[in-house]
Amino acid sequence: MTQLARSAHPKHTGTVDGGYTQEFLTFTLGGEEYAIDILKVQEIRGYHAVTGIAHAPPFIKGVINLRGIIVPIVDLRIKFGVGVVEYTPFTVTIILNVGGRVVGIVVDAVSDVLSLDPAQLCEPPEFASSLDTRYIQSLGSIDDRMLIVVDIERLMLSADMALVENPLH
Amino acid sequence: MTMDLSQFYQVFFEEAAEHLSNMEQMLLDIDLDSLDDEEMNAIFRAAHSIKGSAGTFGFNDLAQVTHELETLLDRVRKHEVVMTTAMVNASLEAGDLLRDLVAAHRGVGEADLQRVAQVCAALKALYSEAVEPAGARDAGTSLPLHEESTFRFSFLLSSDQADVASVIENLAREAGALGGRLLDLSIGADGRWHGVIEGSVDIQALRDLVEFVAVTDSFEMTAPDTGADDAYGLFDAEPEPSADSDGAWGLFDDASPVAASAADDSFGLFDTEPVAQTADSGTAGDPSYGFFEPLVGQVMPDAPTTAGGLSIVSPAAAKRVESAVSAPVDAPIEPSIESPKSAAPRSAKPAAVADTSIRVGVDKVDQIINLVGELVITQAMLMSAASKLDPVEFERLMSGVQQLERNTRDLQESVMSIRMLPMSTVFSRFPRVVRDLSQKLGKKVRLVLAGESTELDKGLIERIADPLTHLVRNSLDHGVETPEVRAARGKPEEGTITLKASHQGGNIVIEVGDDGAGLSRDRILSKARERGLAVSDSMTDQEVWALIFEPGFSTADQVTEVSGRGVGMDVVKRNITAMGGRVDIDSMTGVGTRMTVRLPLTLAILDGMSVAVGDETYIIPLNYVVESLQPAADMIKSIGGVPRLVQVRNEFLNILTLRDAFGLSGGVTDLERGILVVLESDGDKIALFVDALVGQHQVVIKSLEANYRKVVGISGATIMGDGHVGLILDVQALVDTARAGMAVAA
Repeated sequence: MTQLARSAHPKHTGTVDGGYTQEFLTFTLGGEEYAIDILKVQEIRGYHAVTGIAHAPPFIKGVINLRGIIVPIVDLRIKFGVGVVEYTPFTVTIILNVGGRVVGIVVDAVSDVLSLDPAQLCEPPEFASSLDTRYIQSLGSIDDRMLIVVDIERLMLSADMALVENPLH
Repeated sequence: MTMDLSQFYQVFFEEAAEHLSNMEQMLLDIDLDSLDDEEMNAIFRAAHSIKGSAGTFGFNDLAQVTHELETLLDRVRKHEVVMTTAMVNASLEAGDLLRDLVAAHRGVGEADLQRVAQVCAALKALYSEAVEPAGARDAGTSLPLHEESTFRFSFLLSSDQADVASVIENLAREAGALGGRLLDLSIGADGRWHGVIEGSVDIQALRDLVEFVAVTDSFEMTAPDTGADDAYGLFDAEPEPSADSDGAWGLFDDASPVAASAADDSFGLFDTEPVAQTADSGTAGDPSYGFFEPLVGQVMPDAPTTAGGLSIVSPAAAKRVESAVSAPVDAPIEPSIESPKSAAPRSAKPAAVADTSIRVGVDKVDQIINLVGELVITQAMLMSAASKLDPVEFERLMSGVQQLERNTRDLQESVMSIRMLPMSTVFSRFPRVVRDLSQKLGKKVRLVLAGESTELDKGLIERIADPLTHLVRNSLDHGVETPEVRAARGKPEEGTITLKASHQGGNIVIEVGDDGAGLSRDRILSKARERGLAVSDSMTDQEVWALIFEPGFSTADQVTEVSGRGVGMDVVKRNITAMGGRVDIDSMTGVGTRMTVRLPLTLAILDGMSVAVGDETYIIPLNYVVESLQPAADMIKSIGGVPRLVQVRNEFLNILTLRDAFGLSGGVTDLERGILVVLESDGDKIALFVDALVGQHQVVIKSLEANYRKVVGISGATIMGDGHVGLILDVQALVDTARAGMAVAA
């Protein structure tokens, strides 16, 4: 995709601030490109066989059976109000492992695995959006593209997501 | 050279816990009037086993307490002292302390060293008092913990120490770490090891240290070099053994001129009399504890004391002397009463139990359970795929699939049962709780246990123990009246607390009942008003009783005013609710109170009935289902123009439409075209309206909360034959919803 994709840097778990290169999984929601820490990603699978849950907010599509584990599925497209919400055989679910929980997110498409070094990341400016800036870790730039680096763990465990009984914040 | 023992810690902790609970059980069963020797031996053995392994693993505090306990028990079992209630109490308390200490070593809580000292002193006082009426134990029983001086000690190295050199090397290093300086440690001509230590040393710790490797109670302290005759109050420096056996360590009965006979009773553990006399060293009091070592023994022919220098016998030298050591050591062990070797046959009983069970980590069991769950799902998928095939053409496949179904079901049941423990594991603590508390409160209480063999998941067993203890204590404290009051009310003086466990459908029901005063409605109501809670006199009893679960209804001083039942009841309720259970109270003034705890068997397989609503399938636990019916038009009665009741025979039941309750779209809306499932929970019946019945399955309950959160009306999830997730209905919540809906409508 870019010359940076699959860079020669070894995969590193260090923090962005710590000066290490970090690997991200990028996906698109509408026209936007998002990036999440690849270490939080368990697997990527299609979207099917979701059982709805009563009284759940609309963006919680329900639960699926992931090899015996009951996993809730959140449609980020609905949550952020972007993209076209339709479920086709090509709809992608990213299964995350955050805070000891397994949750799935539905996105428009998974694009790439990228290594970014701190120089490519900058602090996000304050702005109002459907995605609270608290959950935006940084903004990454690759050529002309902007990547929104999301603190996915914090986002998924927040009260906004209504996924957990006792939210982090 | 040191072996890492920590990998065995877990085993020790579990064994210690087992021994402790055995010991407690036996102590509680003791009948002081007719003491059974065999019982006493068993109790002693339990204490001894703990001491032994505590020593091996270096848990000094545990070893210290068990040592004192063992001494007391040994005296009792040898009929040297008479067992008293005070002794039972002290032993039980020591048991509690040990349990806490074990917990502390496990990393839970902290070791209370002060309590260790207290309990040890109490035990010591008991057995010493009983043995020495007066004077005799004036000095001997209290070793000062720290002593600034040089003193000598000696011990017989246990013969089962394979690597003498490294043991001694370790010992030397550890002893040095105690605070003093080890000046010398070497083997003497008598086969005993002699050490000289200088400085401020915790003698108790040193003793403990040495006892791990030494023959039981062969450790000896000799007088400090610096005129410390009185320092330990053990003896005079005179070489005549008989003269100093007196005050040492609660020895007694030394009318006999032979010191050895006095010595062998010192801790009653080690009968070395014959050896002491045959051993050429002439140290009559040899294996006794804190006993005088004649001057002969202090002279170390092999390794003269080098002032300030630490001399440790070289490995080679140790090997050389090993045979010398083992020869005299082996001899006394054979006839001895409580040497490690002869203890082995005594522990034959626990060993036999151990042979028939293995310890397995819970995570391994859970993994198996998960895998079997997966297997069941795969089997169900195969089953549903096979059902579409022609049974004649695929006859062999069909029979194979059916066999697979039977086998998986059996396998699943057996695996599930691994995690199940009988309720007796929880109940067994209550005789003790009741005994202690009733004694403290001056009440007479009989505890009746029933249904101890009812099985419950291990995870729940552990979590239910505390809430149950609380309920029992509450019953005892606030429920059962004092004997006088009871007599005045015409009840038997002895109150009864009943603990009963049983299975009721998919639940386990645990009842804590008492025949005490019961709850006072008026007092609870007035208290509730004081606290500003919304109450009215028209509330039902159930609602009034439920008030005691309100947080803040429960601080100590209020409780006594409110006729009790409040100390932390909110916590009890919260804990039980967190387990997916509930607590109900029944009470009648003057007759008694019954708290009923209902817990789900979370891990159990559930017999469920699947029902369809629109596109969704839900599972109803079968044990709630009374009947299913397709209503005729005349059965449905409306109130205020809304059809909300169904007449089933002589009953009018609330209709709850699942479609509306869950806000689903699609499905049947016409009551006459769907199915009413009559559900019963806690005596309340409702009719649940669904589209259709799908089938009946056994389902594995999966937690929805593990990755999501609790959903009202849903008690869990399961995986259906086609791999979809099916949600299990929480019937209790639905019944409550229906009732609340009625209340709103009314």
